Amino acid sequence: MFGAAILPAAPVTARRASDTELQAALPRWTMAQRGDPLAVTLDRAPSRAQLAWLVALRQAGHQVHWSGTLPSIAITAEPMANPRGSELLALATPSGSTAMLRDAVGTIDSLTTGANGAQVIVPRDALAENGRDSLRAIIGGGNAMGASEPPPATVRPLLVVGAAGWEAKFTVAALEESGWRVYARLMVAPGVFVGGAPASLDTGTVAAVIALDTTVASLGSAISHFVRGGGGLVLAGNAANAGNVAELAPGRPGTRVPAVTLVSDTLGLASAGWVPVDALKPDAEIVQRRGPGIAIAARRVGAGRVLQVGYDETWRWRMAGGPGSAAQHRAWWAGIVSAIAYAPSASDSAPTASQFLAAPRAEVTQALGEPRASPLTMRGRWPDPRWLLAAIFLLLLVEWSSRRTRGLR
Amino acid sequence: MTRAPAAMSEFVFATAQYGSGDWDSAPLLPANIIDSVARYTSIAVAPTGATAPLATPLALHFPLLYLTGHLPVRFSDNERRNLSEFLRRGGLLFVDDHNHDVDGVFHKSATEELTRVAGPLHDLPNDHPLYRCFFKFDGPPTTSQELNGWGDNLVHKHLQAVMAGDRISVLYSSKDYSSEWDYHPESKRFQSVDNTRFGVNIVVYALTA
Repeated sequence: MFGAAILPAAPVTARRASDTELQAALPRWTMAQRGDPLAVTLDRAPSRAQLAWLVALRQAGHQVHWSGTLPSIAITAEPMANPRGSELLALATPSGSTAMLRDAVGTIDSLTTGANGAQVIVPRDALAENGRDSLRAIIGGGNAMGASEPPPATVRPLLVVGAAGWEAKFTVAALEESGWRVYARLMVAPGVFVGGAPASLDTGTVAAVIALDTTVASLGSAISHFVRGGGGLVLAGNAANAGNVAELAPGRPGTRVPAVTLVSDTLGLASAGWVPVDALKPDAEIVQRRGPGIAIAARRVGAGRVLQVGYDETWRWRMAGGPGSAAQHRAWWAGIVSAIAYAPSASDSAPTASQFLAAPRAEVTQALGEPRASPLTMRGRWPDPRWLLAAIFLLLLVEWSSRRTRGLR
Repeated sequence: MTRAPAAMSEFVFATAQYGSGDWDSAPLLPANIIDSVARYTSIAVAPTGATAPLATPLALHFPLLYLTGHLPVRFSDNERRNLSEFLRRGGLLFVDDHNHDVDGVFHKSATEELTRVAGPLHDLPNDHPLYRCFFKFDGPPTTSQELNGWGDNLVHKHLQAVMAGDRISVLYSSKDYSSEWDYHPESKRFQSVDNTRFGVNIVVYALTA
């Protein structure tokens, strides 16, 4: 020991494995002597099971470290409130990365991420049957898996409120064609409404309210309770002028800008008349600009979400637009509603079944600590002999002091 | 150049113009229906009607089109194409036989053209929401032309329709509402019951179904 203390032991090289060797190494490492240093080089993400195994080894007393160029990438897949089913995939990678989205069957899409990553909506029927379990974003040598929550157990109906007119008719048509069940409460005379309405306005019966004009005032204060309880609200055109929703709105309806179109024009949303969103509230977010004005703004109110949409003549786009405009109108309204609709989760604590990590570098770092830059070495599994030597000298000093001070008592 | 209607949020009662026949055979009907819609409902309605040429895309600006006449109807290719697109996008075409005669040339040619463009017509049940969406009816209201035995000397118990799902896409009448409603709105004061009320139902149905 004195020798070891004076002459340090030769470094003990850790048991090492690359990411491709890890699966075979883990059983051997499990049989290794407790406390052995274990080092893995990760240039690709380990599976969730492999990472769990490494964590178990660490908790069993092994020193587990990692190094490598595991890329910073994360993907989440969030089911959208949409009766046809779709997933909102959000991807975070280094800016400018080209990522490929794949499922068990093959490539779904490829995209280049910007400074804020990338988002893409994938219809659920575009994924393989077990697509959500095998969904990966691949960048460079790394991969990530989106492990989203299960889709909403039920998608509640929508309530469209407005004066009887083409905008109301074709908004309802677009949403019904998108698979939504729609209650339409349309005013045809003062106090006279046609269409059905739910018995009560709450998130148990309705996912979102689409208010097309100030007729929404007929819902009274129930709309405020509904939104604060998690319900979605779309305020189109001048609907935000209604007293019962003004405080919920992201802003105030401005002066209407009429459409200026000729018969020969191909009508689109960009050429439709609209009501700019003015006086944006501080906690509101701009979703879409149109020239110097704000066309769409959003705001969270309590547990709910409110979207103020300036467009109040979208039916023209559907009826008098170019080829495919009816489908575009339908998809636009479905997207608007999906962004704010209340979608109860089937389970808030559903365990992920994925074998892939959603954010490999972050999850590995959280489990195993920061990566080491250099190969791992250590001197042995006993405490450093120099500390033992110092302890012995300290004990001798105490003994000597004890003897020297014995006669003073 | 023709501008698209400026006040698109308003309901505009539009009469379909086609190349053959006498498409404008009931010139007072639009004003009468507009008057009734304004009188009984809060629907924002344009004070004057419009003419929608089926041969041009302008027809697509008016999701409810009224089509009538006495003479044979033969659509051009453009008219067929635009009408087909109009119906596919969700428009409602209301056709009324101004002859009130199922053996007449309008009925025979119009139903033939409609079948070609939209599919065959079927009887519309008299408990359809069309008859209850604003005023309540037990079926299509009779007209004085029917009761007086003019035309085909029949009281037609049903209207006919082409459906798009559960929605009426084409509504066809052999009852000659074009004669029944073709008078100056001021004359309504001489009637005990306004006979244009069913016209309001057609408008309300078109705007809400």
